[in-house]
Amino acid sequence: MKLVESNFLKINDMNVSVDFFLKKDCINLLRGANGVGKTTFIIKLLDISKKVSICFQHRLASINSTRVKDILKVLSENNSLDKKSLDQYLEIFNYSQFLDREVNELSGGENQVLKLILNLSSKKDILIFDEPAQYLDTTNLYLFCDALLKKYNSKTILIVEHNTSYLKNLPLEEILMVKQEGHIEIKNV
Amino acid sequence: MFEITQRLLLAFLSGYFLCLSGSLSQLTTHNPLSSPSTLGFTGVGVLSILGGFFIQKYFLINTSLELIGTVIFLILLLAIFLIVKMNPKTFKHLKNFILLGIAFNLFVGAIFSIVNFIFISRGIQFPSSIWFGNFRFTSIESLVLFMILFFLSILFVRGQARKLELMNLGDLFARNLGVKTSRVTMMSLGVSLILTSVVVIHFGVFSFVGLVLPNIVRSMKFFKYSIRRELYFGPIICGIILLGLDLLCYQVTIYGAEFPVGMLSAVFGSFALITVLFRSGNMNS
Repeated sequence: MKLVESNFLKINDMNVSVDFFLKKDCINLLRGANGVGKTTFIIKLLDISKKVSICFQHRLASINSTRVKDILKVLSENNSLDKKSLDQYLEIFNYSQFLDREVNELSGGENQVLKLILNLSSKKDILIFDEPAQYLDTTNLYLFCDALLKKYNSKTILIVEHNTSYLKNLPLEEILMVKQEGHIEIKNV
Repeated sequence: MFEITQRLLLAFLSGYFLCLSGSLSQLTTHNPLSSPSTLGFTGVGVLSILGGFFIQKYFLINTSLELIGTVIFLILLLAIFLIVKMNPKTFKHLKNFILLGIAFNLFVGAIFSIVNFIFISRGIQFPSSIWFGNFRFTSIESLVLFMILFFLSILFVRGQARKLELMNLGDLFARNLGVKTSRVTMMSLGVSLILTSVVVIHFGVFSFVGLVLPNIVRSMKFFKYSIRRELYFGPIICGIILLGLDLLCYQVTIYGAEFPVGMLSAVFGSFALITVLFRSGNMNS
């Protein structure tokens, strides 16, 4: 499926030639050198498509003392999450123990797992993960891979990642983002 | 009796407006130390009243200072809107917004000192008391305006609370859930600017109120987990606090003179901010 209808995008005054499609029966992997604009591109997707749900690199943080359960309540009221999936992932990642914790007090790994759970439970059709492995320990990384393996049949998944060793056992479709002569190109490999 | 009721009601509404302005600016900039003063909103109000005073004295106009100040404020509001529209890249990053706000406040402070000097050198009375707000002089017109703004601000909070609650978890997080964050930010900061300026134009500056009261409210158990509660009920608590302080100033005079509640709020506010910071430090350790 085509994620972007137009073949050209303008991102931060840069011309981006978009010539790629996402496959449904595998994990789509977006790769590119540091600073090429992968994160900027996926942020731009928020303006283009309403079907995408993105797990960003940024830490979840609040200016008050919001707890994990408060976030889940707000998102449920917003009708953003699939309740059944959410309960399932909370159990898989053994995350129920953190429900009463304040989001600002979560460690980097705990915060990352929460973001992964929220994105995996999203009702949207296309799930994007920007460097999902960061801060994860081996157990959570294994659980995340297992979740992806069970998920890619029902949802379209795009992962932005440099270190792909943990994805080696998953069916991958590579997409490359390259910068050349003043413009950026995104294409299937 | 009517006069004191009117005065206390206006003190309550001013506290309500300043706290809501503080909460909105802190939420949208994602910074608990952001406030209408640091964003330059207080400066806009001061510049409006300063301009109003200048016009009133220069052209010997009899119209009330609040009315001329409000007209100047509306002109400034239009100018700010056009500047923001014409320079979207500058205002895209909130850091620039905050820096511009601080610079604008310094600019207003400098202008204030210059005008103050000119007026004093010419022997004309100058409203330097504007820096310490008080509710000694109230009018039914002010009350009507404040009541209208009060109901409009409730409607605004009702419409935006859910979006602001999502934005509390980060701009990208909220955008991912379909919130048009730039729009909500601009609207919230606009509301904050209007509410703060209206208070400054009518009653002067109440230092620390917009900065401290939202933080005090946020440290209370009932409010600490919910932005919606903070937006709906926090300003009511703050309104009551400012009303209480004003009542204290009204009842207790010093050598027959009434202490400006703005001075008291500055002392109370700075002390409360230090206490809140210490308490949060203890909790985190």
